[in-house]
Formats: sequence, C-alpha cells, structure tokens
Amino acid sequence: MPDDDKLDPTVATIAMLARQPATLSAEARARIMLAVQAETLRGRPGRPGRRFAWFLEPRAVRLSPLGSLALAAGLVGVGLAMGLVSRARTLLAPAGDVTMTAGAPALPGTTPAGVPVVPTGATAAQVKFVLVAPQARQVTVVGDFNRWNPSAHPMERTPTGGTWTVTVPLEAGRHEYSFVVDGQHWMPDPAAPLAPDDGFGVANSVLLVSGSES
Amino acid sequence: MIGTPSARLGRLAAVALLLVLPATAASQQQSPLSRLDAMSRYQIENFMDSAARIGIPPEALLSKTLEGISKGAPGSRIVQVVRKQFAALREARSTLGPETSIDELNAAAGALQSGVPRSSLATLSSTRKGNSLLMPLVVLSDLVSRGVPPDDASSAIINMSRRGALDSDFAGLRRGVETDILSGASPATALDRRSREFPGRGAPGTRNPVVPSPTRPPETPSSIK
Repeated sequence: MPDDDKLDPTVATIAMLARQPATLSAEARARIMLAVQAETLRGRPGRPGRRFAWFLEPRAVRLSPLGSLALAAGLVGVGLAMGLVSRARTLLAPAGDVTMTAGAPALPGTTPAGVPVVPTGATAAQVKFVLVAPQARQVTVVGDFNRWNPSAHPMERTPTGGTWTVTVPLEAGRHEYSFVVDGQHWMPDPAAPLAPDDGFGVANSVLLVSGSES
Repeated sequence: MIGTPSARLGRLAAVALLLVLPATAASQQQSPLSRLDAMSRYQIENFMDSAARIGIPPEALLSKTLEGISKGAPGSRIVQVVRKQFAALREARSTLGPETSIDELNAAAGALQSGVPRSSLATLSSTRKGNSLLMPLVVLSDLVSRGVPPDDASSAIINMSRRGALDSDFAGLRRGVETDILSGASPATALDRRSREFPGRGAPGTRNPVVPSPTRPPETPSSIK
C-alpha cells in the first residue's frame, strides 16, 4: 500500500475516511443480522434435500473398459428387447375383438361347392376342408388362418380312398386358402370361388365364414 | 472396479443377466418376417407401419407377405406384391369409406387389382344401401378370375344388386357361370346367360348381411382335375 504522504490530498482524505470503523445503530445491526440468518436458512437443504443429497451430489464413477463395454451392451440389449416386444404388439395384434372361443359349439361345415359361406352362431366355426387327390402322398391346407404355414394343418386321407380332409376352427370373416399337395404343388380349391390373382403365380380360394349376427 | 470378490462376482452376474435376458426375449419374439432378407423386411415393415398410421390393419399386408414367403417367392417379388396390395387397400378404402370392414377392404382391393374399375366399386357400394359388400365382391373377383371381362362382370353384379339380389343369388350366379364355362361356354356368354336368369327381388331395403345357408352345405369334395 502506498504511503498517504505520496498520494493526492483528495485521495488521502478519502482513504482516511474509509479506514474509520463504520458505526451502526443497534436497530440497523439487528436488521442486517436477521437478513443474513434468513439467507442462510434458504440455502440449507431441508429434509427432502437431505434424503436425495446422495443422488444429487456429483461423483466420479470408475469402470474398467470391460465393465463399461458390458454395461453398454446390456443397455443396448434392453432397448432391443423393448423394441421387439413393442413392434410385435403393433404388427401382430388382432384386427378386431373377434377371438376364438374355446368350447364354442362346433357347427358342422365344409368347403362348399358354390356357396362359400359357413354359418356359425359363435365367433369360430369348425370348417371341414375336403380334397380328392388319390395320387397324393401328403396334402395340407394353408391360408391366412394358419399364417400360410404348410405344416399347421395336415389333411388326413379317409380310409375309403383318395379323399383328404381336415377340420379347422375359423373366425368369422373372409379367408383365403390353398391346398399344398406333396409339399410342393399349390392348388386352389376347385369347388370354391377364386381369389384375385395373388401376384405369386398361384391362385387362392376364398371362404366366407359368417359372424354371429347372421 | 473396487469391492470384495463376492461383490465383484455379483456385479458380473448382474451384467450377464442383462445380456442374456434380451437375447431370450428376442428369440421368443422372433418376427415372422425373419425369413426375409434385411432390405425386403425393412420395406415390408415400412408398408405395415404406414398402413397402421392411416388406419388400415397391417395384418392384411403381413398375411400377404407370409403367403409369399410360404410360396417361395423372392423378397423383391414379395415387396412388389405387398406394395400393390397396400396401394389397392388405400384405394379401396378411399372409395368405400373409412367404416368399411377389413374383409370388405381386402375383397375390394382384390377386385381392383383384377381390373374392376374403381367407379364400379363406388356404384356397387351405393346400390347395397348398407348391406354387406363381401359376397358381391367375392363373386365379382371370381368371375374376373375365370375370364369374364371386368366391365361385364361389374355391370352384371351391379344390376343384380340394384334388383335386390341376396348373397345367395350372387353365389348362385357364380355357380352357374362356372358350370357353363366348364361346359364349354365362353365366360362372357356364360355370365350373360346366367345373369338374365335372375328375376329380381325388388329394391334392397333391409339390411342383408352375409346370409348363411339355410341348411348344412352338402359335403361336395373337390377333385384334382
């Protein structure tokens, strides 16, 4: 600090006044102390703050490279699984509230020759598919009702000859189907209406199963 | 990492569990489209997402995809077919309205794809007065598939509908035309002859949903021709 003798007289006067202790009245001193106390209380964490202080306090986490890799892979896996589940629900959810009713009356039906409507009083009908194929070694029926899975509904040869049958529970609505003979020959039902050209080179047949409103 | 050996083992087990659980879930939720190549699958999923966004049940597209897979079609062909199907479904819905059932939409989409004019669908819908379009559409598509010109088939079906045809009348028309074609008649001639046989039932007024057969349909086996 420079000596006051070397300062400008005006500055020296100001410095001298500033060095003198401030005198406050008792009332002013009390107000200041109250304000300071209130400010301190506001900044101090209360009960909830203390409870989560551990979580809110920044801290360093140490992970080995292998550990961090495993953690990242785990998080990716969890996200993948959630995405798959969500996507499956979106894509595979049934279109409506129609459900297969266990124990529903099994009304007789068959692939009809011209009238492609199978009646049912419930949400599902037992539909009997019939195909005469004496030379066939294996016949299955595939359609939208079994997700076009050739192994879902194999047909059985009747004891009397070359007639193949299978009974399938079907929901009410329009169904497209086809027969697969010997695992490779796709053919529509000759006794049912044809579906429009499916774009895959093999026509399908159409079957209507009426709902309970009929 | 810090901690006792047992704590480290616990952490390792937790990480392993995190890795194993998603793999198990993924195997259980394996997509039915997994047999498609990645690019085709991506495109099909896009179509289905788009369909869902505009209110068309994506199950129709999924079923068509699975059909293609089952029939051994290449992925590019399946994508092409599903794209056309999606376009036809959109066109059918814009023609018939948002309240149309998915079965009717599928049938209408098929009719459009087989060459039936869109205007014919709209006209047919107006003649049904709230009755189900399912049977007329199924018969219409069947007739076209058997070689009847789309315009002729549409006109015949619309005329029958205007004269109050029931579902059983449409089914009878289909059966008669098929019989005549098998007997050697040309598809157009067979349709002309059979459609003239329908006497008419008056204007349709009451609701006529899919009418079941009054009795059990005869068990008439199909046969390989």
